Amino acid sequence: MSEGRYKYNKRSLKFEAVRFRWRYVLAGGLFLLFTFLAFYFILFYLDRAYLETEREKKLALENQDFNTHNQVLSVELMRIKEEISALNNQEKSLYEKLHQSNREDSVGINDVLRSDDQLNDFDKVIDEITSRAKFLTAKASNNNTSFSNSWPGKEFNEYQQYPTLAPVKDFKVNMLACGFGRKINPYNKLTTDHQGIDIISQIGTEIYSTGEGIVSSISLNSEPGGLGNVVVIKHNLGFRTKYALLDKILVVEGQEVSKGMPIGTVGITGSSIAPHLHYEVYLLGKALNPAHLLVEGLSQHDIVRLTEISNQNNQALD
Amino acid sequence: MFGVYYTYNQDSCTYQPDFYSKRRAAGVIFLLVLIAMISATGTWLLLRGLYPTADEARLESENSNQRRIFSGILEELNRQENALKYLESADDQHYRVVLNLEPIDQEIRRLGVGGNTTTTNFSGAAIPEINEAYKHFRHLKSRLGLEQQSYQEIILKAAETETMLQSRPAMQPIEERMLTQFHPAFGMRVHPVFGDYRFHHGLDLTAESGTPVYATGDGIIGTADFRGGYGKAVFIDHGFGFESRYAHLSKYIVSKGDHIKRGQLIGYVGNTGISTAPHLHYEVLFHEKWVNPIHFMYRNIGQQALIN
Repeated sequence: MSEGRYKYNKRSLKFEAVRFRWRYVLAGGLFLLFTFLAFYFILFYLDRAYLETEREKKLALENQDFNTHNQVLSVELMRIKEEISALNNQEKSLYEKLHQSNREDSVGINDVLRSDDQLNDFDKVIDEITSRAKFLTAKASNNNTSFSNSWPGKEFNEYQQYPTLAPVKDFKVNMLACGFGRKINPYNKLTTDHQGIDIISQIGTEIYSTGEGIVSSISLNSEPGGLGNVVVIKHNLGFRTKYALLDKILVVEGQEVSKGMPIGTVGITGSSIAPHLHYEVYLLGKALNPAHLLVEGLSQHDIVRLTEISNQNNQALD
Repeated sequence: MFGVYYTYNQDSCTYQPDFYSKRRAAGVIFLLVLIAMISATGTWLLLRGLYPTADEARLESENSNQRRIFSGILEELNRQENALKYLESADDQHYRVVLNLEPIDQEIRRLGVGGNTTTTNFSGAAIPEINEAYKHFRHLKSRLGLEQQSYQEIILKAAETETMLQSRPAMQPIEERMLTQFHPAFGMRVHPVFGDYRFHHGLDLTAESGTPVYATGDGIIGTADFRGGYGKAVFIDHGFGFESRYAHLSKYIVSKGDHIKRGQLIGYVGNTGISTAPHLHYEVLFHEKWVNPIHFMYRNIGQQALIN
């Protein structure tokens, strides 16, 4: 277009040189833009409607999979949840039936705050916490008194002679099935004094002497009533420990035993309704709560828990 | 832009129409369209390479949504598994020990044999996690099935144990306040009638004639009859190997085959049979061998609650 171009103006009847005009450029630019956008959107919608990338294919497939299987699995999960909660309820009622007690007398603040309607009523929560705090204080002081009865103020080297070992192998706190004091008799469901503690364990579990001493008496009894096979050990400072309902006895009368020495195995002799050790401790003829003396190898938390379980009003295994 | 253009021909000194200009204009338009097309395609390709497509974005968000649901399911599944683990350990370490049942083989427990797995028998999903989840579900379900069976067994055994506890003699056959004398003399002793040294199979509870006598455990009356030296006697079969005998009664109010409960009135103290004074002779037998009834009396318990 280097050579001049002319246009015939019909009004002035003259040939006029065509000059460069910006609006042509603008028009061209706009045209270019609109065409560009039109093409772009055509491509965009074509892509959206017909073209599938590999990734899209994969995602679509995955989503479909997830969608179907999530539904199947949710239904399945719901069913499992129901079955497990049913089983849980069965377990709870079984426990209550077997031990005539609730498993926990829980005192956690989380229990107080659990339900939402209580959260709305702040005063109620405060009341609840206060009453629980009172309950805990009473319980703690109760535990303290009974504890100090078993542990009168003595010299440290005397404490070392206390029968403080757990009397069965691999003792765990939850093996304490029934504590000391007024407990329910399993047969006639009446409350009676339970002179010792019941530690559940499998038949044949080793029983240890809880302290150093001399075997003062052994009585064998295969009758289905009473304390069955019993070992009594006499310790220093007037302590006497009694291990009842044993299966086998591994010591003889008059034998000196050391702390932790196996003296017999857990059995189900006598009037016991489950394999367990019935363990009693006497200090100068007076029965003590053996749970207070089982401190060796246990954490502070365990010792407190032991006392708590011991104070529950549940059923003895006799 | 349109219309006829002219060029000035200097040789002929005339304006000549330029017949190519229309074509040129068309060429320009074509060129513009071409540029637009190429650049649109280029931009599209570029953007597509740099950013996910609209479909991808949509699918992606749906995907992450579904994945969230999926992982929620897995989380809940783990929670349920923990609940089941608790039930299993309670079963193994508590109930089976307490009830003296055979322990479940840990290998069987791990494999979880015995559950119903029909609905989750699937492993054809394209995503390995889903197949894993199905596997996990199957495993949990079979373990759950095993545990359910186990608890059924435990509950049955517990019920049986409860019946045993109810049946076993576990009280004094006469109210404590009605007793005038209690001889805890079981075993060898001098016989008050024959005067020789012989085995005493039971305990003597002395009380006035006519004092009520109660069954000490649930059971079935085996005998309610006059039995020689026993005089008028009631024998109760408690099952589980236990039998209790009440002798020298003045009167019994039950008959053979009656089902009775602990604390139920069965007769009255008397002086029938070989007896020197009104008293109840009480025996307990285990597998047809006499045992000391003192272990089955629980004398220190307030027993009024048991008597009905």
